[in-house]
Amino acid sequence: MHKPYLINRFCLCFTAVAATLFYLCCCGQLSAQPTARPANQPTSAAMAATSTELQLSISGTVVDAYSKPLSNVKLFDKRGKLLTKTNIEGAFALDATLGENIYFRLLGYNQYKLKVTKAFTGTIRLQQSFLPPAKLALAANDTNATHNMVQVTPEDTSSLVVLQEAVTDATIQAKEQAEAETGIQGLYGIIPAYRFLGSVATTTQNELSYTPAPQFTYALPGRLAGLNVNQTEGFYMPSLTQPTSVDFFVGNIPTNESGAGPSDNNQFDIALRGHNSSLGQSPVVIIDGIQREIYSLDPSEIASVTVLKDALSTILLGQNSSRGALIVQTLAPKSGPPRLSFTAQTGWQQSLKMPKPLSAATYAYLLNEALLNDGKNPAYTEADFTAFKDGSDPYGHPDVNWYDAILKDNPMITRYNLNVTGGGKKASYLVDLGYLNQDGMFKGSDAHTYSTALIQKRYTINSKIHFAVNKDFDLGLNLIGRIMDNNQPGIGTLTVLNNLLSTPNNAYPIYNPDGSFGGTTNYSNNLMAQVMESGYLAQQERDILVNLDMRYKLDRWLPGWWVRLNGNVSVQSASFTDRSKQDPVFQLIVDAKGDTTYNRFGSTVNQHNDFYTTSWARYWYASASTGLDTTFGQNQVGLKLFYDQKQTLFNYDLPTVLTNYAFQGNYNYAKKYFVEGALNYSGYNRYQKGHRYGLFYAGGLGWDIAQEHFIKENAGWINQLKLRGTYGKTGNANVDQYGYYIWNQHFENVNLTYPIGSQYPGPQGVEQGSTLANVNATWEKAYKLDLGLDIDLFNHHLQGSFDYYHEKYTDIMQLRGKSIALIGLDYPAENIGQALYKGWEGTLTYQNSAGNFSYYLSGNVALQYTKVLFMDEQQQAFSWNRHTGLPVGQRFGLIADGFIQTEQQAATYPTITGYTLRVGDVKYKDLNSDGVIDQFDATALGKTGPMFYYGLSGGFSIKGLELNFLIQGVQNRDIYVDNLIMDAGFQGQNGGYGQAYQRIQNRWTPETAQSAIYPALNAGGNGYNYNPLFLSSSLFLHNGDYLRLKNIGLAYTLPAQWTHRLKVGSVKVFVNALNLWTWAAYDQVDPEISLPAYPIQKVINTGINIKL
Amino acid sequence: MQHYQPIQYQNSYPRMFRMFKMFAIVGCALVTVIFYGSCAKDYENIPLGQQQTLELTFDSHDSAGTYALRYLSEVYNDALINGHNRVSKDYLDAATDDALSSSTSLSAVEKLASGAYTSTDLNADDNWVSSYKTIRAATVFIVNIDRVPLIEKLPDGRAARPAYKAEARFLRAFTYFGLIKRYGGVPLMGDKIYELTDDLQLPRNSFKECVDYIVSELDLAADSLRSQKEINSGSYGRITKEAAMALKAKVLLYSASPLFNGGNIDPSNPLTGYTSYDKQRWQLAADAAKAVIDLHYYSLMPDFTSVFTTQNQPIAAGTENIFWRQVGNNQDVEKNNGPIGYTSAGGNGRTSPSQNLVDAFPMQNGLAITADGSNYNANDPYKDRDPRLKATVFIMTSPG
Repeated sequence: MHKPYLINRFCLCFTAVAATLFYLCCCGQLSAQPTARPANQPTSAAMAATSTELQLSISGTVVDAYSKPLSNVKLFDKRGKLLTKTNIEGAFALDATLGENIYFRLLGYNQYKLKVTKAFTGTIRLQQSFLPPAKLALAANDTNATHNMVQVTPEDTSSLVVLQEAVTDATIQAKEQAEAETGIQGLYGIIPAYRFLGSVATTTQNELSYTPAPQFTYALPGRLAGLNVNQTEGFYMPSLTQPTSVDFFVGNIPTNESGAGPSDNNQFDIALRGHNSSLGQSPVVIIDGIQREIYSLDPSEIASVTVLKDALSTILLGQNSSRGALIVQTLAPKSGPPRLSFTAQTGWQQSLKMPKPLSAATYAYLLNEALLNDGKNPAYTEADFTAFKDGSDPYGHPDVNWYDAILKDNPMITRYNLNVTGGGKKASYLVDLGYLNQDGMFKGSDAHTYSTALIQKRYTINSKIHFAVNKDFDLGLNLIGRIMDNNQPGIGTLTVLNNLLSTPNNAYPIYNPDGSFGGTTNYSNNLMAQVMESGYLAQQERDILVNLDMRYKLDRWLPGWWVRLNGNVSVQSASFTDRSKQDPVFQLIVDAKGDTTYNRFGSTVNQHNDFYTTSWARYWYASASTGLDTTFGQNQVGLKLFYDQKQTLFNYDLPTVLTNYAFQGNYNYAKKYFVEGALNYSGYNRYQKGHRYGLFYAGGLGWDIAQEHFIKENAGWINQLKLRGTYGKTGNANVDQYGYYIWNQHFENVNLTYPIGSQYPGPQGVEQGSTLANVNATWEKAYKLDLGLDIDLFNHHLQGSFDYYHEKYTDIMQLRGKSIALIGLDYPAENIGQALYKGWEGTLTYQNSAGNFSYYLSGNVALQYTKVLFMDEQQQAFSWNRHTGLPVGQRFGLIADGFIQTEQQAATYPTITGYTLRVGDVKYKDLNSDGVIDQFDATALGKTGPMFYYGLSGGFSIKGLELNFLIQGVQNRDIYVDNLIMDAGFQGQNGGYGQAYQRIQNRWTPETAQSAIYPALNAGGNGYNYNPLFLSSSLFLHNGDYLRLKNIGLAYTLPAQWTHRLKVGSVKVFVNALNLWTWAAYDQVDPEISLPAYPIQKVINTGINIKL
Repeated sequence: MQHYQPIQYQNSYPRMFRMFKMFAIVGCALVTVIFYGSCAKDYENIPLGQQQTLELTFDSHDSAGTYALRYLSEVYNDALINGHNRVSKDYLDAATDDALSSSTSLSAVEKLASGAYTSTDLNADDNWVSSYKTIRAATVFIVNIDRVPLIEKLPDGRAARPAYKAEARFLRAFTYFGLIKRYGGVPLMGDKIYELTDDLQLPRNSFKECVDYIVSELDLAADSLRSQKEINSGSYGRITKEAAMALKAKVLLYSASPLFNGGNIDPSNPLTGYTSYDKQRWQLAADAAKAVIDLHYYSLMPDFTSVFTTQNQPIAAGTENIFWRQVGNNQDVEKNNGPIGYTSAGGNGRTSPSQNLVDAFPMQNGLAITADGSNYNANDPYKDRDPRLKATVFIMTSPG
């Protein structure tokens, strides 16, 4: 039913993107045309013309944003003739005709146009392009350098000498820097782009640093095709409990659900190609070559985030290779004179889609209506209504909008970042310091010397040193440190958020006339007191990662032979200090005589001073690899042996150890035909002995048609047209999600069992572990096929990448369909399920410049199908009850079909056994027409078609002014909104009734019978309308499509003339925004975050960046 | 990795030799690193807390049977669940005219009583899963205890092991009884311990088969259990022979009652009761009860309150208590059900007795309050009433 609609949308959207890009390509090609013409063949007419015009002397230096000279910048005239190039000092000199335009071009930098109006001498600053240039363009540039040298005219000999010097001086480091720019970030190293066969998506530094957010994860939605990032929490919520359960006899029993140790991601659901992140299927995070679940890093400290999606490119992960990988590279050192960059920025946050509570009078009116519907006595009188309305009795009849009372309008987020890098031939270094201070939305108290507010503070240091010990031996040392200090009200953020949602406006006044906190017997804790006077909880997290990387070239033994050793140790600890307290509340009673008394409720709890260690983890990683990269004739061969081991030691857990022994080989002929293969014998120690190791494999083929002569000769505008495909068997060892040593059947001690004799309390007992052991537990397997096409056209101005994937997952851990309680223990998760994940992804990027105007447009789309192939489903009575064959995780429930409108309908309409229908109740479809609503009437709710998500980014730069934007959206998505407080109202609470929101005014009444979207009100909950048969109801299922202007930013770099006078490289001022505008098909709630989670934030941010 | 020079093919023997030497050195180094890494002393193979096996629990070398008896304690704990305020924190009395639940909303017991219970309610008395867990736990003990060389003797000189085994057997039968009360005939698991690979799609046994099985199990248990006389302060609380006999009488009485015997809700369905009426079933129940009476060990106690407040250790002859659940000292009953404002225990007033219940108590003279000459005074309703009234409900003069 939804399919044609979707396809229409999809086609429309895609056509629009494609048309825009096509248009841009045409323009681009036109402007690119002159460049294509060989520079050394100027027409004789042009030569003749120049000789007669007035020649002016033009000279100067070309520098980058740090005022460091840029060499090899090419100067062209408007016909694309190469005039000259800058030397190693960035200097150039030429004579030019009056009125002529000179174009300064350097890959990776925006084009600069100089109009010759008079003799010029000065500094020209090139600005880095927002998106990095095509990898192949950079690679071609490197090889072209030699060609150019051959072709240069005698006048240029001086620059030739310098260039040659530069090449010979290049260390391995410098070469690697170049490699990093021209290659694709693989799992543990750079893979040259021309021979990369896998499926990949990357976002780079400028895009990341434009995101005004505390973590880099905020910058991912919409940037990476195939990665669906959904935000579930608007603020970092540190864990305040030990992730262990305490056993009386043994000590602490881990309840760790991830063998990887604690993750600091509690704000995002990161799903690659539709895999459920809650089942341990989210991509493995690799930070600077090390597997660590670290997400809380400043976006501007990250050089790139790459997602690897196919089997071949992740096969070295062995038993985790099914999950894909998210490769995070922090900024890398850059050789040369010291470059210093300092950024300060601050933003205003604003919560989106905060619910609108009912005013006290409306609340009272609707509660009465609900009570009357239930046949109960109304709770409020006419006099109460009046008092609520006119506010004549603010203490007896309060009307407090708690959202206004305890929330700040615009909490601030402030970030500072200092980055210094530089180095010489032998060594290069980088130091990066970061600071974050993010305020939460609760008002804090000024009455104390301590803060009771919600605050996240983070300090990071990242230092990297590379040494070229000798010409063969290279050493890299990387040290990352992070401290996080999180403060929250003593009662806890979650409690405040829950109370904020559920406390009615008329529950109690904030303050009494005497200044004490208001309250009643039912509400013995005042919300304002919880925010202001409940003390604080201070949570701290500390992380240190030390990474040593050694490479040795053994060329003198065998050319192309190398060895690499890599080791990492990192520790993490988290603790918190509880300094919470509680203040009592008072109710003001005025008796008939006008005498006032205060009744005290709640207790005084003096400030605690307790310290808890919440988690401690140590990670150990080592890898050793050796390989041979060699070329003979047109043949290139690469061979590699690889071993690594990752150990995680977490709290009281026994360590998890993941070991891989792998072999990789690649071969290509003339960079045209590619073959690659890998084997990985991988083991995980959390399985039973004998069940630990498995063999995983992957292979790929590629063909770059653009390298064929018939293309090279006939269609030179095609730089790359590569067909590629990979296939492999991968694994996912997610057994830790399902228990601790689930293969081990055991008996456990029980404390305080049945007392015999006079022994009270009872003696120790012993019982069988509550879950049957799964002795055969093994890893989930996936058979992944990925077919792709990479294009690079029009002199590298247009790049695209398209993928089709088909991934069959088997041995998925799940409970068997026939888990019968007669066995007397719980069934374990077993390797049962089979599921299919398939889909299409595409990315298309165009970038070019015309004069001083540089621009780009980039779009990515992903269409994602999932299907349950096998789930050991019990025989279902009716076809619509079946889950098998539907998308993974399909929601099931009853179909709501309007409301009962008349008493006669109420008497005759099918209902749930035992429930008596009344007017205004939901009607459910009786699918099997047996006159009863039961589980046989449950069916798939909502969309069963593929989900479609996309991102479109673009921007331009002209004379220092930059504008960039990102639009991100999801189509064919459902959201289920059944928060009873907001969608039903008047939930039983504290012996009374809880808050209700304006949304429920759309309830059924005889007057609104036709327009109602909620059933008739009731007080205290009604399972029939809101939770029928403990299933979902389509009444609460809404279209979840949305589109966000996720990110937009404007920046201005002050003119070079101004800043050079101040001896500053460049000064950039900017303003950017996050979640500035959202369109959602269902606009009552935020499409991503459901309350009472911390709401999603809109951020408007300003800042300044200074480079020296 | 394409920045290396192409191989220069030369035929140079020393160079090849050096190359192989280097290969060997690097290879050995790698192997050493890997080998060393995998051989270093590690941690436990199985985590602490998970190391106890079946063999250790039923240790064939432990004449004290320490772990086995601890295991039995836990079977007791599983089988004998606390019945106070069990269903939605109410007494079952709240489902009758005797009492009301004090819950602000309609409580589960009241819904059960008034027919307001629907498929939108969770099962407030769900014990299917927990019952079969108990049955498995008891069976594991029954099957494995014979391996333990217990030397303990009962006071009468018999070996203690059969008694412990019989206790587990009783607890299992008691659990089955709880199931058939609620569901009618249920699958009987026998003495087999089912494993993951077993087919568990077992049919329900008929009501008759279940009753017969429970009775035969209780007969079997009664022979080996210690009798009440042998109970001492160390074994106080254990299942006795008399308990098994009394439970048998109760099971037979229930099965003889009209709901199952003659009044089966579906007369043709052997799962919900007997398919035909048999008067003899009443006789069996009576005989079983008579067997307990004929022990002449138990008798009604003279004082009603002392049934609940005196705890003889060991139970002496002439008491009423045959079988009970042990708990430690606590005030849970008082806290949950004492009236709000009854401050010595902090009453929550979960269950409120009805006037019907109060009026049902006769006067001290034995006459109903409505009877002529009962001397009932509506203005002083608690005066000269049956003393059991004050022991059952709180009245104004109750000790607070």
